[in-house]
Amino acid sequence: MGVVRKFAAALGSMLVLILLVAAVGIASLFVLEKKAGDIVADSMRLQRLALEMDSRLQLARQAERDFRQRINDLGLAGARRVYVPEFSQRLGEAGRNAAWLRDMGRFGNAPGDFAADTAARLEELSASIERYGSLFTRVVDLAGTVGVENQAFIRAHGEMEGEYLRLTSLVRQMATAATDRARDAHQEIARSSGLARSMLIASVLLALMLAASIISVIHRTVARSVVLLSSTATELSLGNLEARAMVDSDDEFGRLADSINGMAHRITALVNDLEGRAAMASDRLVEAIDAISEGFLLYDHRERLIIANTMAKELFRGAERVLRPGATVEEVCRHVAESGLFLNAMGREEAWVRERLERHRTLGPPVDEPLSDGRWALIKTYRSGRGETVVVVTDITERKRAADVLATRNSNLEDLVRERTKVLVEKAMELREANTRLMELDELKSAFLSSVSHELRTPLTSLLGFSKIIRRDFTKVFMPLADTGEARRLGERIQSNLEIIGSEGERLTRLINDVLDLSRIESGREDWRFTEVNLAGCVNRAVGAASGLLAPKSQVRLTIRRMDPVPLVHADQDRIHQVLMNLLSNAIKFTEFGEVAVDLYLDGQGMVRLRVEDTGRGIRRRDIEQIFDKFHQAHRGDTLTEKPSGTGLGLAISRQIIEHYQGRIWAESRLGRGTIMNVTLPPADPSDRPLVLVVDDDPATRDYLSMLLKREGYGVHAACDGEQALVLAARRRPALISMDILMPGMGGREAIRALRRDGRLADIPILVVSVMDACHDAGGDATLIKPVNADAFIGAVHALIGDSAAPRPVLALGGAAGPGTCRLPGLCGESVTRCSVDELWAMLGDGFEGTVVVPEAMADSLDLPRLCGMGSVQVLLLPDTPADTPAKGTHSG
Amino acid sequence: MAKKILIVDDEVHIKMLLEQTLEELEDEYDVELFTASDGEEGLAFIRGEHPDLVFLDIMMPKMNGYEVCRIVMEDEGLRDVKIILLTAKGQEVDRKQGLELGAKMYMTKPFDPDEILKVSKDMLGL
Repeated sequence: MGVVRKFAAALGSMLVLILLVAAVGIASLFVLEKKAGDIVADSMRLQRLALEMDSRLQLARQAERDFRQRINDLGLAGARRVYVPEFSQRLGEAGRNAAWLRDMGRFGNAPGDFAADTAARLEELSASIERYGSLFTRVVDLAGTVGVENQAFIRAHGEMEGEYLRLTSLVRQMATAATDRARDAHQEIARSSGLARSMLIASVLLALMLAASIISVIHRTVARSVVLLSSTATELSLGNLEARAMVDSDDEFGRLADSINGMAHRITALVNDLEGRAAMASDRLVEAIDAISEGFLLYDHRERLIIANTMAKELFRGAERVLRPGATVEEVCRHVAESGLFLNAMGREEAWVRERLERHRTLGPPVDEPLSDGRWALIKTYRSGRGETVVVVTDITERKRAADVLATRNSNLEDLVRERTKVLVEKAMELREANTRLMELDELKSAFLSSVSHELRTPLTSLLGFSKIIRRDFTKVFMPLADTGEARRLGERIQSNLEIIGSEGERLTRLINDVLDLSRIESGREDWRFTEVNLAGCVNRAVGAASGLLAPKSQVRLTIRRMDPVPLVHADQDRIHQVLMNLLSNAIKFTEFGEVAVDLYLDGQGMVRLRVEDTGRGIRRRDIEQIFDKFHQAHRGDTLTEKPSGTGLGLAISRQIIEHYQGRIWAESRLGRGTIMNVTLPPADPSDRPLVLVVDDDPATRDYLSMLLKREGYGVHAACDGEQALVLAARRRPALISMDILMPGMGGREAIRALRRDGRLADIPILVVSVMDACHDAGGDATLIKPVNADAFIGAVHALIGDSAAPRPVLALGGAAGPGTCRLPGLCGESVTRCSVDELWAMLGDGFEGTVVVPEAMADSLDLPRLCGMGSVQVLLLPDTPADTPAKGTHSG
Repeated sequence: MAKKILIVDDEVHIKMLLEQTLEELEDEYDVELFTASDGEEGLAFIRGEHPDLVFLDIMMPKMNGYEVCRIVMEDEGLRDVKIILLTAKGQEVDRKQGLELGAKMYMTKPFDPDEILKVSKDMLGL
């Protein structure tokens, strides 16, 4: 049985016992007190009735007395009429009192003699009352018959008096007896309740004593077991694995003792096993250490040798005696030093020992030690984690010999390296000098270029001037003298030759001017002017000036085809004229038939656009970017037969100029069909530019996208969440919104829904730019996934805003019936080519560069990551048009 | 009274070219041509002879064309001398500087003889 249960049972029984005793005591007390109360109540009632009876008897006696005294006053009949009923009534009441008392019969619980006495008294009382009543009747009768003076009346009256006295005495006796009875009852109660209390206290004390003795017995038993177990555990913990707990009981202590004993047993087994293994491991370790080819010495943290292997003893020949466990480092060192084994120690043994000790303690670097028998030992010292020191001694005799050989070689090598280094240093010096010279040369070049201006132009001036004068003089003076056909023919040849000199000189002049122009721009020495320029004026002027170039081209027309009112631009009028002249002269130069047309208008992005379109021979695609390179001329096939015309610098200069004024210049062309040269310049007033609202919570992304857009000439507003975006969109009416999806507060999805609901804002194209792969369903018009490629972003913006002259061609995946593609004409202008997936890859393989529009429904049918990974294309994901919203196709610019 | 045209240039050939170009005027009108080979010589002639028109090179030894132009234009008595600056320099600053000093024109080399002739006639009111 468990200790706890034992405790519980003992405590429980004690509690029950105490409760029982208390209950019995309290119950008996209660009964006693109840009984006593009853007795007292009875006695009191008796007393009260006795007193009541007494008072009624007195009233009866009063009536009787009054009767006797008032006979004379009232007459017998009157007195009789008045007092006899009164008397009868009072006496009757007293009699009824006695009868009640008797009838109550409540004296059953009173001691026998009291009840009997009371009953007897009541009998007597009733009899006495009757007698008193009948005596009174007799007295009344005698008063009527014989008169009150008669002896018979007096006798009867005396008898009646006596009866009354007895009666009152009886009543008094009864009252006294009742009072006595009540007092006795009180005393008895007091006595018996005192007894009951002492009995109760005694029994409670007894119960407590019993409980205490039980607890003490249990406590003794438990404490003994605990002490025993505790001492066993202590012994075990101190390492006495033989200790066992001797508790012989079937309770928890018994089981605990068994567990401890079992545990001790297992620990003993484990320890034995571990000791066996440790011994084995140790043996194995010692064997392993012995087997290694290097000397191995292990010292404990007090510098005492723990183990030295065979190789160590082998290396320190003659020191075997001292290489035993327990020997100190110092002893070992001193011994080997004095044995003359170490050459370095000879003659300075003490110092060497100190050095060794120092190395041992501070773990100095490995040391090569020559031994007296011609061998070399490498001594390395390590410290183990527990502060023990390992000394490894390696026989490096062979290595040393090889090293000697190497050392000689090294010495040669070092010489070589030194030599090389010297050469290198010289080279470096030369390089530095060359660098300095280059810088000087650069300055010289600048100086040269500026002096070329003078030095080349002056002789050119003479050359050109004189050739002209000669031609003039010759024509004026000598030609008329040529009278023979031969002389005339020769004269004409001289004239034409002089003309060639003139035109070639002029070409040379242009080249010099262009070279100087470009070098000045490229070196940053150009002094750029920024004034507000009216491009319409520039166009008129340039077209007027260029019309002179048309003289030899009778089949080419030069027209201003479109001239819209456009804002002013910030630029230098002369420079713009230079560019225009260059473009016009190029167009005229390469066009044999047809038209050179100039357009000036504000394009979809709010940039001022100049277009010079010709119907000339066109430019090959691979040349189209290179035409802006220096000295590049398209269509230069055979350089021997095809004469170059122009300097090849015009477009390079034009590009420098246009880009300097924040514009762009590019060419579109079809071979054999003609070329369009485009120039855009930002308007001086930025409010004319289309506005893009960039919504992103990340400031870095906002700035980046804003920068890209500004560079393209867009006005930019930025918002950091959906709410701000809605406010700005309503206020500024942007041409496009670039929308992030994940933002604090109102996110992109919600903002897009709100924008689409708002009738005034529902038409604004939305470009979703988000990290989420699954944001195609957010409701935007197109989706780009972060990180955003700059070209892709700008391409998408152009496409959505509807710049009809998108600079890059567009491939649309899917046929005309493809989902979503119905919006393409609106988005991308006319330059859209539709194709299938296979055709797409084929075209990409052929080097297609530009925008690829992928309807979202087709996104799964091709390798989108591969497509996105291609640097040459921008991918635009076109979300499906929900059936309930009308397709958007109204954003063309 | 014959109109006087002065050509100031250190380059002999340029001087010759201008002379030969302007000879036509000498033949047709009452014009006299004079030459000088550097700025000092040119200035001395202008002061002494008060020419009507001066073709003035800028880069010259002893005294450059700007200097000559400045001195002439600061002289009350010489202010009506028409100066045409001739130079290989074509930079905007140069042009501006020359015109600010009071030159009537700024022509860059290489120049066209016909142009010289036309300009001279205009300047002299011929």
